[in-house]
Amino acid sequence: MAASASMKESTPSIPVDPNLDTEQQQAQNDLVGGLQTQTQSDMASLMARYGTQLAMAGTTVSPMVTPTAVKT
Amino acid sequence: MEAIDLPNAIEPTEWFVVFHPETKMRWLALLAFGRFKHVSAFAYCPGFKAWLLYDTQWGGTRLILFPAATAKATLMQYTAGCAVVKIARALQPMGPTGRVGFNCVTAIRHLLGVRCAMYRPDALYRYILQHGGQRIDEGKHPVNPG
Repeated sequence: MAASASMKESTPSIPVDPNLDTEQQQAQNDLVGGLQTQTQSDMASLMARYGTQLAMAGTTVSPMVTPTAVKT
Repeated sequence: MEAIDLPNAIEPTEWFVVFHPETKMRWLALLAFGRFKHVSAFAYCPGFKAWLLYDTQWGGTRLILFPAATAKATLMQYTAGCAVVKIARALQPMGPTGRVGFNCVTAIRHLLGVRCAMYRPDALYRYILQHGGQRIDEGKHPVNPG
């Protein structure tokens, strides 16, 4: 306990910079904007490449199935 | 375990938790059945103009600093294809279950102060989203990872 108390006393107190919150917020916003742009870009490229398959996913019709001619 | 007083200093309070859908270790991927196979976290260190990445891997724990000037491109590449969830750290003592086992999930649980017992990335993902986590890499916030 004594060691702990002496450590507390000898610990230098770092002055709190009021600009730290602003700096953190700006850095986080910058990164979040980049990540969201990246996701939108990924989705756009996915739609461009697999648009038909993605649009029909979950339906009973598969774009990979070639329609067969039905003789009447 | 002794509780040691730490010096007064700047410590990240908000973390970006990264849920990785892939891992290079196949047996680990099977063990962590579910959508996510690995979890890591990074945070901004105000005053130092740097991002700190915390990643507990099979080969050891990695602590990596990125200068803010170049971190955006690096972190965008690092998180490509991953789910990224922002959450504030809860400074609370860990329960007994927090000391059982050690893997990437328990490491991140300790980092964030998550007391609930869980050992798979999918479970941690659901827990974080249900407790104030904000999915920041997309507009939607799906709770179920599957």
